[in-house]
Amino acid sequence: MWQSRDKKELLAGIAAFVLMLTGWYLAWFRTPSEATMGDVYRIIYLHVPSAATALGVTATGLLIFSLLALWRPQEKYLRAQKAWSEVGLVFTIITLATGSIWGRPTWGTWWTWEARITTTLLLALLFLGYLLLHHSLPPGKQRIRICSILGILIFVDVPVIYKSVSWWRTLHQPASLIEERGRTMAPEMLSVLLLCIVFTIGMALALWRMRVTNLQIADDLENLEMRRLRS
Amino acid sequence: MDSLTYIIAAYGVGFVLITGYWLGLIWERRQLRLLQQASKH
Repeated sequence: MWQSRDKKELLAGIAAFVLMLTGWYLAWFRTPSEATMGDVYRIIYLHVPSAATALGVTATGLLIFSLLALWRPQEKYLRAQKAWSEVGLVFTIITLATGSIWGRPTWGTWWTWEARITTTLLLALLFLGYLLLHHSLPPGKQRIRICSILGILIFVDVPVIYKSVSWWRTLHQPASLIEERGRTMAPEMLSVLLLCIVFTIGMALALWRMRVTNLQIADDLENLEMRRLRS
Repeated sequence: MDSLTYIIAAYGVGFVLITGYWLGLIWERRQLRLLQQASKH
């Protein structure tokens, strides 16, 4: 039943998963405690990579395939968009949840309506909106066009999220990875954080690839059924 | 709650969401391949 493509994607998924867990192990046991926050800061090794994946990879992936689909309206680009939206929603929810759990002991609250958190929640709602729109429209060029326009609009939220900590007075701390004055993290913490970002992106790519193939098989089956019904 | 509880809660959410989605995709692939096989006969 399993074809060679399935096995390859499964193996890629297992490899990405093991690497991601290795990153978590390093974050838990191979990094020093933070001077003011103590051990609770270790949540950033999941929070920051999830945010980087959601903003830097999934939203960007959605933008690229939206532009491609507007240029050449093809179902394969729409499948890629849909898969990025799903993966993006998963990692945006993780970003919000881990941020909330981190916020409780450090800020004293689970949730606050400040700029970065609110714009990240908006991103999750936009990904969800994209999936609902995709689901509600009939297949065809119009669906490709409308979904692609929404895909481009979703990306507009990304620079707003990134710059929100400098545009507005917020509770969220400013950028600690890339800063104009240089690094703000200790090298031993930064190296593990960068590894975690790479491994999380790898996991997101493995999930996206698998979802795209699933959508393609489902479309092939549907087309076959339609042809049978017509003949 | 101590630090460990918050850390476990955060990583637990991440683990459940990523693993859940991934296992869902594997299950979906299996079902699609079964349908594909059935449609050939």
